[in-house]
This record gives sequence, C-alpha cells and structure tokens, in this order.
Amino acid sequence: MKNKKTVIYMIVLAVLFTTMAGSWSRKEPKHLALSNSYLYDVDEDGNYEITVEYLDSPSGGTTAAGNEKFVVMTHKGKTPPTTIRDPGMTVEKDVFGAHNRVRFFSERLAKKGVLDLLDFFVRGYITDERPYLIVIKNEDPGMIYKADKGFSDRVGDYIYEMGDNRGERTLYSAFVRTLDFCVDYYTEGQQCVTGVVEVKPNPVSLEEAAEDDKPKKYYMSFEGLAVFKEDKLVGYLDGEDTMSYKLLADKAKDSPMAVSVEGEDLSIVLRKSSSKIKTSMKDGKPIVEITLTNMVMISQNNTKYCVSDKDELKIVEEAMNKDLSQRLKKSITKVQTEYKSDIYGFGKHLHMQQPKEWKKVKDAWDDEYFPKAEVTVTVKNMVDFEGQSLEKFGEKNVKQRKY
Amino acid sequence: MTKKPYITSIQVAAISGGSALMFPYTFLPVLRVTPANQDAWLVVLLSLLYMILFNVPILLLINKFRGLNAVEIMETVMGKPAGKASAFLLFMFAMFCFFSCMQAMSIYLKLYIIAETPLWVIIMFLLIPLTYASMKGAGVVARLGVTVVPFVVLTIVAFFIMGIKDMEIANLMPIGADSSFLDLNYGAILTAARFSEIIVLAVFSYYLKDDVSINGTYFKSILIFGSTFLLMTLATLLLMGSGVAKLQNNPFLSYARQVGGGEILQRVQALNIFSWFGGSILKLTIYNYIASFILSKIVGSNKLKPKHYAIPLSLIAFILTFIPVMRKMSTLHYINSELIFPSIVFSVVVVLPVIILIVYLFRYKAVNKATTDLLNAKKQQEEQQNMEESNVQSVANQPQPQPQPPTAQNDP
Repeated sequence: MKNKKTVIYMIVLAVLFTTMAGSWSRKEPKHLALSNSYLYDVDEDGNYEITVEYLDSPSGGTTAAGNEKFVVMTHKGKTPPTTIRDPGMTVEKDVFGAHNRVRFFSERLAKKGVLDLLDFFVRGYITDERPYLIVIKNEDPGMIYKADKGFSDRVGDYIYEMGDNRGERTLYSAFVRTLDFCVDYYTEGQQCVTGVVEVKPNPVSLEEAAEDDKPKKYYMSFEGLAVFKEDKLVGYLDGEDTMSYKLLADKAKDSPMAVSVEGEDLSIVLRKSSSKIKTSMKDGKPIVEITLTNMVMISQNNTKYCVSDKDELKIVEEAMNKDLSQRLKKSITKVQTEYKSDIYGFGKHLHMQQPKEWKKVKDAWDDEYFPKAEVTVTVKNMVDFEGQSLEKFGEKNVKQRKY
Repeated sequence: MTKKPYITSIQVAAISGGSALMFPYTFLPVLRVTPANQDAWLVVLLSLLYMILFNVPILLLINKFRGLNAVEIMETVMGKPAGKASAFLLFMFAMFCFFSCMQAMSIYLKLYIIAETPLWVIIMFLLIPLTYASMKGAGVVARLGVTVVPFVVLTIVAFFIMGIKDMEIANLMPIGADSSFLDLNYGAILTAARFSEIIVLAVFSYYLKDDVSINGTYFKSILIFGSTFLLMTLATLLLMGSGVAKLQNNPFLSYARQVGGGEILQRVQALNIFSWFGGSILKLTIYNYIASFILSKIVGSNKLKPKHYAIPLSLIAFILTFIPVMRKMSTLHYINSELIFPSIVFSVVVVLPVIILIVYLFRYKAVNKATTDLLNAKKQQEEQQNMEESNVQSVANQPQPQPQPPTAQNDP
C-alpha cells in the first residue's frame, strides 16, 4: 500500500515537472513576441538601430492559411538593451529573446567594434551564446529581410538550418556561433572571424509564373568570412581564402572542392582533414610549419590520369598536394599582409608549444610578428576511394589494366 | 526518549559530498581563484589533497570520540562552558552556511531563472520542504541525500557527455606553463578552504553503526565531490575556455545552456535547473538540521528536540533574506569572496578542531575517563531502552482475550 502511494506521488511529481518546463516565468507564452533574428546597426550619431524579426506565439503562430505569423520591426535607441526592449512601443507583446537564432551586424557597426554588444550578449540573463554571428556586406543591411528564405518561413530559421545542416560541409562559408567568437576573443594568439552574407539580385525571375510561385527578387550568398581584429571588422575573405582558413582550423568534414592537376580540374570530397601546426621562434622571427593531411574521395576526374591505378594515382596525389599547398600559402600571405590579424591561431600554437617565447612576443604579435612569420605548408592528400567507376567515363579504347 | 536512527555509510557520503558539490555547481569559484586560467583543473586536483589535509583534525576527533556527538565531544574535551561556547561557534557557522546558501539560491532564482516570481514565494518554496525534511530528522535527511545526489551527479555526467563534441582540448593548453607552482598551491589552498562539509560528516557520523568506517565514509564523500567537481571544471573550461568561463556568474549553468545546440536538447537544460534546485534544497536541509541539532544539544532540554528548532531557524533565515542589502548580488559576491568565505570555513573546520586537539593533549587522562563514563552511561541507557521496547513488543504479541458473546441479561 505504501509503495503504491509512493508510485502515485512520483507520477504526480513527474506530471507537474512537464508543466514547469514550458516557461521560465509567470508570463503566458501567448503574450510573448519571440524573436528569431536581430540585425544590429548604428546611425551616424552612434545610436543603435536594431531590427528584430518577431514570431507570434503560441496562439499557434499560424494564420488561417497555415502560414506562421511574424513581423519585422526596427527600434532605435542609445544602447542595445534599451533599444531591444522596443522603446517606441511598436510591438504589443512582451519581447522574449531566448529563442533567437542569429545576430546580424551591419558593416558600419562591425567596423566600429562589437565589444559593447558582446558584453550585452554575455551579461543578459535571457540572451545566450548560441546564435550565429554574421556580418551583412550590403550598404542597406535591412535587405536581408527581403531576400529569399528557401524552405524556411523566417530569416533566423533559414540561417540556423543552413549553419547546422551545411555549415561544416562547406569550405567556402563560415558559420560562427557567438560562443566561438567569444572564446576566440579571449584566446591568446587567436583573432576572431564571423560568417558573412551578401544580399544579391536573384538571377531567376520567372516572369510568367503566378505571383505566389515567383521567386523573390533577392537571395543570400554566404560565401566568404569576415575577419576581425580584436572586436573590429578589418575585411573579408573570399570563398577560396575561407577554404584555407577552414582547413587550417580543422573545420572541414565531407566537404567538396576542386583541385588542379596539371591544369585540369579534379573534383574531390575531403572526407576527413586534420592540420598540425608546429611553431618556433628563430632570430626574432616566427617559424610556422603546417602539415595538412586529407583523406580524399574523388567525385569527378577531368585529368588524363587513371585514378584507379596506383602509380598514376601517386602522380595525381603529388599534383594535388602541390596545388593545395600553393593555394594555402597564398591565402595565408594575404591575411598576413593585408589584415595583420592572426585568424589561423599561429600565436595560439606558439603559446601552447613555446610558452616562454610567447610571453616575449604576445603584445606585438598581430602587428609585428604574425605578418613576418615564415610559413611552410606541406599537404598530404591520400585518395582512399576513387569513386564507383574504375575508368574515366567515355574512354572506349583503354588498354587492359592489371587491377 | 526516541531511539537513535542508524544511517549507512553511503548515505552520509552522499549528503556530505552532494552538499559540497552545490557550491561549485552554482559558482565554480575555482575558475576565478589564482591562477585563474586554463590550469583551474590542476587547482581542483591539488585542492583535494589540501582538503584531506585540512580535515585531518576533525577526522581524528570523530574517530577518537566515536559514539559521542559533536557537542558532547567539545564539552568532554574542553569542559562544559568552553565546550558550549565552541558548540555555539559551530551553530553560528551552520547558520551562516544555511543563510548564505539560502541567499544565493533566492538571488539566483529571482534574478536568473524565475525573475517575475515574487521573492517571498521563492523563499517559501524553499523553506517549506526543507524545514519539513529537517524536522523529520537525520534518517530522512540521509535518505533524501541518496535520492537527490545521484540525480545531481547523473545530470552533471549527462551534460558533460552532451558537450563533448563541442569541446576543444586546446582550451586547456598550455598545461602548467602560465601558472607558477606557488600560484597553483595558493589557488588550491583557497579552494580547499571552502570545503566545509566535513562538518556534515562530523554531525552525521554519530548516526553511523559502530562497525562502519568513518574514514571510509569520508573518502567516499571526497570521491563523489572530487570527481564531479573535476568534471564540471573540465567541461566548462573545455567548452568555453578560461576567459569566457570565468566571466560567468554561473559558469556550469551557462555551460549547460550552450550544449546540445537546440531543439530537444535545448529543452533538456531544464533538467539542469531541477537538479540544481533539488541539490540546493538538500544542502539547505542539511544545514538547517545541523544548526537545529547543535542548538538542541547546547540547550540540553529533554523537552526540546532538534525538530523544535527547525521552524524558528528557517524563520530567521526568511527574515534575514528580506534585508535589502542581503538581496544584492554584490553582497553575495562579498560573502563568497576569497576574503570572507574561506577564512570563516578555515577557522571552524581547521582552527577550532586543532584547538580542541591541543586541549585534549593537555587533559587526555581526564578526557579519556569522562569519555568512557559517558559512553557507558549511553550504553546502559540504550540497553534499558531496548529492554523496554522488547517488553512492549511481547505484551503486544500476547493473545488478546476473545470478546464474550452478549448474554441474554445484557441484551436490551
């Protein structure tokens, strides 16, 4: 009897817990406007302009037609926390930011510095460090809310899905969460990056299509990344240079790319990639030796070589190694000379490997030592799978091979 | 007189280790203590050694005077007046721990988790269950421990596992290079000096059966505390790095908010709050019970048991929490700072027992005799109580006379 009572109590408690998990306060969710994305901008006087994408909740958040209800509003104010609270009283529901997916920075703001905003993100008890950080390249950053959102209903969800599903598998774009930015900011010898987006005119117009089926006039391009020095934007990398960054930062997995073999393209998939960065100081100059090891699958072969033949494959691998190391070197030199911002974390590795040397150079690392670092890149590509075909498609007069 | 409840070794270890765990679970101050860098986990490991060292005096005392409770030990060694005064210090310390934990919980709940709920509702939510459990006595507190602490430990382990894929081993590098040996030891001493739960062992070991090892129980509690403390520190450092982790008021709760990324796992963070809430209530219950127990022994009245003090002590804490200055986070930081908290704990956990040991060395013959007399008296009392109980039992087991069927004369 006593056990029965205990079981009943436990069940009642468990049921009560499920009711508690719905909300953090007494405020009914139907009175909340859940924000999905924020765009932070500043005007010429230094006032903040924050555009927020709100989702109505949870009267279902859906209209009779089945589409979710959401609005985009811009608020203006002196500081981010006061501005975000909608001082102009434009939204009738209580603003709730815990479901935010992405934080956009306008280029203006990012160049000015984002330290104040980061303090707000980390300090706010309802804000957290999960959302992605993305700089909008366009002169008018509000264009982001006019662009096509793919299969998603809201911009925040679109970026969140994009980052989570495809962020790791692309070499040409970066999706960086607020936490990663903050960790890099506090890591000695490491500068920060964020993702970047540019709203471009959509080349597909479909004039003859019905109004509802027509694609939007604009689409978002995520190619490249934004380079920061401390908390300020100093420039962008294109897709090619972003590839170098992601390979050196071990942020690539199952990513497609093309390499050049004697002037011909070979399409590959990097199944796994790992970099080793060895650092030292010689005559007051940092020496950085990078070894990149890739496990590669071939997805298309435009070269004259048969990649199923071990001798010919060796030639292809050597050519791939040479091509990739040259491309990496070129990107690194660009960042060293143009931006003087150690986004690769060479300083971090020097700190880990030569802590005594690091103490001597850390204060002048980015401006003095990083640009003059002598970098050598060794790439070891290992093709472990040449794909499903043994020979290049279309070659009819091939000699009988011994495999 | 009620019979002394016996509790098991694992129950005492659970309440002692679990209670100690709640402080790092809430603040993880080891991240900010010298050297305040990626070597904080080394400080945790070193602090366990210092902790054991600091706890030797109390362990010696409770092993030597096994069978006596904490107040009896002090009175026997130091004499009645000085013993009562020392016991009063211990009572004040338990109240300090009870109140500072209550203050921390209410502030965090109010500012961080359920901001729109009135403070008095939050405090009542805490006080009612903890006072009820404390009034029920040591056995209930111990059983509560083995219910709550495994849940807390499992939650920490689960959150550690969920965060593994996002952890960066580079966040711990370089190991030991940025901290001097002196820094690490200084940090470890300050961290060890925050461990006050040897007091829990000192009070609750009285309820252990004679054949249960006190030292074994102690090391079990250190194992529970040390392993989870290390796990929390490593998880937080590996995910957030030292720089971001030490920025946080609530590092492990912030860590739990990051892991999982979204959707279902994002909602699992509610588990972390439940676990923290349950663990904190347990800690409050333990200290309420300790304070009530010591006060009842100091007063020494046969009529007033520990349970009679539980409600007044909770009421005092309730009132103190409403003093405006006590509701400020900065007051909490001040109390928990390197200056205040470790100094108070060190005075009670190390200095006071060392003084008692020194007094014992000077008067060991008289103390040993008094101890033997007291233990014999207790034994006799227990035997008498057992006899009385068995008599009551045998009377209850005798066949009861069958009720006579009503006779005709008795019929109406």
